Amino acid sequence: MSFIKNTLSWIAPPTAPGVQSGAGGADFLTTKLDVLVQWAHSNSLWPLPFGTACCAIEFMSVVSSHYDLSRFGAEVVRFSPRQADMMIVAGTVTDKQAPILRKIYDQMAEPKWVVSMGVCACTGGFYRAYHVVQGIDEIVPVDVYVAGCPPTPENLMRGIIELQRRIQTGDLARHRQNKTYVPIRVGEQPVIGLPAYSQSVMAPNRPGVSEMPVMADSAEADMGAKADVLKHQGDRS
Amino acid sequence: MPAKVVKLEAPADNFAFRVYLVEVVKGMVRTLGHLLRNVVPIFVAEGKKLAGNGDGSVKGMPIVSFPEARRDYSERFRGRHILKTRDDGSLKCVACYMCQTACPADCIRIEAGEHPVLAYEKYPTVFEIDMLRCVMCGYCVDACPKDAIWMTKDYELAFFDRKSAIYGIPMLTEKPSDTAADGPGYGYRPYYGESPARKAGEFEPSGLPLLPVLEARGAAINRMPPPPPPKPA
Amino acid sequence: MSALASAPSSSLTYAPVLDKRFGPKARIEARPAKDIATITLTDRSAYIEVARFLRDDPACAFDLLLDLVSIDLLNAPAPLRPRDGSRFQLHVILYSTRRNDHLRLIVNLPEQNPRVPTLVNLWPAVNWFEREAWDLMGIEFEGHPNLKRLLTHNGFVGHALRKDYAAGQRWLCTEEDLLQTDLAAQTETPEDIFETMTVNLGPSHPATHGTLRIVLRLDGETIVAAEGECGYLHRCFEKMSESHTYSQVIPYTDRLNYCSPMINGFGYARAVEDMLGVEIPPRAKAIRVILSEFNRIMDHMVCIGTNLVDLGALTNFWYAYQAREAIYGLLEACCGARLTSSYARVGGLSADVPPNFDEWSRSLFPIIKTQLDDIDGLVSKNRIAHKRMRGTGIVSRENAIAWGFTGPCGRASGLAYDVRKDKPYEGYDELDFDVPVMTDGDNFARYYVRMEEMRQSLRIIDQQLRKLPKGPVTTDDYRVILPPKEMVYNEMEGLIYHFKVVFEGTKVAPGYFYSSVEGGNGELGYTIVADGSGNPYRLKVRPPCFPLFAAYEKIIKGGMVSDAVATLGMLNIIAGELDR
Repeated sequence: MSFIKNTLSWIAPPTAPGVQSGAGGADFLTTKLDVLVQWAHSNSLWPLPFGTACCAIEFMSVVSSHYDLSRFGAEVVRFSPRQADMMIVAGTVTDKQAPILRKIYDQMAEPKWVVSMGVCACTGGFYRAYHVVQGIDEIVPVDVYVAGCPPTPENLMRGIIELQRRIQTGDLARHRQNKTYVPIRVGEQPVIGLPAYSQSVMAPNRPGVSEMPVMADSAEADMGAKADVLKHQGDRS
Repeated sequence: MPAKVVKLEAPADNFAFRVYLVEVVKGMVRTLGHLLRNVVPIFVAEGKKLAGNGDGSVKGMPIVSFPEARRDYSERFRGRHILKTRDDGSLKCVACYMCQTACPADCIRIEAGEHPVLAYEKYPTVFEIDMLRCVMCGYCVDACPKDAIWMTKDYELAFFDRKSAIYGIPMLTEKPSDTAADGPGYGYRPYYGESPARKAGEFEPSGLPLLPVLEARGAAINRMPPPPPPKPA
Repeated sequence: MSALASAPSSSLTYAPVLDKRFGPKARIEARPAKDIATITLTDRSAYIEVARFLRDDPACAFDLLLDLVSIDLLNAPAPLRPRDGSRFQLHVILYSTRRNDHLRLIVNLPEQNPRVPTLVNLWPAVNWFEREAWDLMGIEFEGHPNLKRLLTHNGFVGHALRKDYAAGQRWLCTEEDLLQTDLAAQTETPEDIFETMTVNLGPSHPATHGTLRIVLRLDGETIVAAEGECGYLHRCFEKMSESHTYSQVIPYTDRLNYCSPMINGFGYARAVEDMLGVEIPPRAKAIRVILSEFNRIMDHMVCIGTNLVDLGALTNFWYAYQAREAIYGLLEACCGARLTSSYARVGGLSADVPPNFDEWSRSLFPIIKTQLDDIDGLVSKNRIAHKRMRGTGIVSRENAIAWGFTGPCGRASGLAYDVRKDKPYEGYDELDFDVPVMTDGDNFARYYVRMEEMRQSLRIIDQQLRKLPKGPVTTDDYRVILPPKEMVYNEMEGLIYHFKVVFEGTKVAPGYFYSSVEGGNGELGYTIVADGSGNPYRLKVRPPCFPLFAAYEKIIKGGMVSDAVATLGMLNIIAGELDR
């Protein structure tokens, strides 16, 4: 994409910001190309199932005959990160699994999207425990959180449809550019002792994090006013 | 009863098996049978505008054409929660913390307020459920002594960020959307049919003034945001 | 000893021999017949000696090691805590295939420097169980060949299941912490530089279910050595259960073996009920049997369907999932969720089955049978399937016993042990069904046994549906289960019971208990240690997959890599219960 844009800007340099470019100029062309590319992206999401637990069984249901994800152009399940666009993290991610998840995410080619399927992947679910990552947004940026334990296949498909919609409108691309992701798993020391978790607001008597991680905070700041609650009632006409 | 053990033997290695071709043909017939069983109803339904089941799906085909068609879940389905209201629109919840205690995921947060109307005693100023923690086990429904929390068949819960997944009172009092063909969309609940409460009047006082619950904390986050502005050209 | 006089003679025929041989070193406890017999070692030094005697003596013949439970008795109430003030306790759960008998061997360990000799030389199956006990409880096993962390990562500090370890204390894991299997470390020994190479299979690999890791040393395509690693889905079920009430644990049990969730819940509920001495109504028992069998079919369907995908036969997967989806519909109508059911309750079920349960269940028979016949027709006489599965991953009967196999994998090796037959529960003894057994012990035998078991499950369901009793599905003991809503809404007494059950949980008298059911993969056992409060003091699951995956690295040695994939699928390792 950037290659095309660069080429086009070499042929016809973009106008200075603020100056209205005439229709038919390079801007018009790239805008139309954007739409085309977004359309193509959204309808050929090749999923990489990072399935670890119960949600992976439901993911199998989603791709098998009853729900058939191929109706959304997402049937080409690829286990190689190099060939996939959309990582579906299905199941609990433990601390032991976390570096692997990050590595696979890094190996995926841009543009890439992450769907967090099920509450374990989203927040750790009811495992507020010593070996469970309290939400994979500690490790990778998440585009869609799908609730449920495990989510029904319809729920996951709704999440993917909404992801497609946002890819098409271009919201996601802009949102991701501003997303300042700080990888937390760095450092010279291989072992970093964390203090026991701070008291949770939601559950004062049990440990677990309730604050948003750094990444999610900035994401929220970016989304700002147009924080779009993905609610089914809203867009069901 | 004595243990009954049956010894199995693997299929014999006979001539037909070795030739392989026979088994190939048999397998083809089997898969072709599946294909025909799936395809023929489509052609039959073609005359009826491909609407075998009236919702875009074809009879005999296993596929559920979501989102046009929906699988019909039972009335015990455990989806999004709903806080029940009395006739006057106030919450039935008396902030007794039973559901919060029973929740294995600790995803419910309640803050109780003193109510000026004595009949109500207490009421929740904050009632939040973190949908991204909730495992939909239904223990809150079982634990409620006041019939104040049910579950619905709304299963489409996908979010773009973690904050919007914390449902406050405004979101939790929303009536379920009519996802099912046969009912109002209520799912798992403490009883089916008539309410087992004997003295309805005492159990559900009505005709009292509306409570200011909607101004409570949590409402601001969870109110439905306006649709995103149209993308500039 | 005097304690022997009151021991139930039927199950403790070996007691006089043992008493004569060891005298005061080993104390035999008489326990109620519903649990298993117990031997407590009063002298720690006799541990190996007694264990060897229990295995070798023909009167004992405890040849199968089922489980090793480690318990931290810090701050435990008096009845649990040993007289000498020991902090740790080990329970070795044994089974005699010849005499069909369970036994628990207890040894107490001091707070400082808890160590015992390893049992690896007696029962090879104990290898990983001991590693787990070291990892989570910090008990050292002298002479263990490979005493390393198993479930947690190498960056982990401390022993998580100790009572003084905070449940939420996490330790970050970096990539370096993962690459420390022995095999990966020793890549370049002089003699094999030329020939062999080390290949890492998993954990993110379609054949390893995303959560298992095997490091292979290959000579060409042949596996010279292998090392398995698990723990990638260790989500602390046992620690979590200690901070939840007995009934709150049930949603967690659903996520153990997520291919057959209800069996776990029923097995757990049954263990607590037996411990409390609560009898559940016959209708609840019958429903539990029916739904357990449906779950068994689902479990085997996933196992066979996904494994055949790994072998290249995709069609069967779609067929298997059609049957599964049909069963999902029934389960959802019963409990309200497709997969994670939370249907069991201590003292019964969460609700009665829907009114059309009988017809609905029967309407599933033709669907399941059709798909079974289709898979059977496509695979059982398929020459490719035979070439891939016959003669690969062979486990002999002796090895199966030594490695602790139970369930379909054990039966495929000729070990005719089925908890439903040998230790009947929930009325399985009144049902007529067969236990299929094969002697080949290869992957095809595991496939074939599973196919036959599904047919037998249909037989069980059919019989049980025919005599499904009427009546309530919960006990009327409201100290155990939530009272009906009429009582809660209208009567003060009901409300009080309701509050007590929710806030305090069901209080179980101090003691320990072992109970097992036949899970999808074999004997699924629960060891519950109660301290009189509403939460389990310690809950240990005996996951049937655990010994299977521990033995996997030995099974695949000498075979090809592609056979290793087939073997892994046919052992049906479910990470949820493997790692808990």
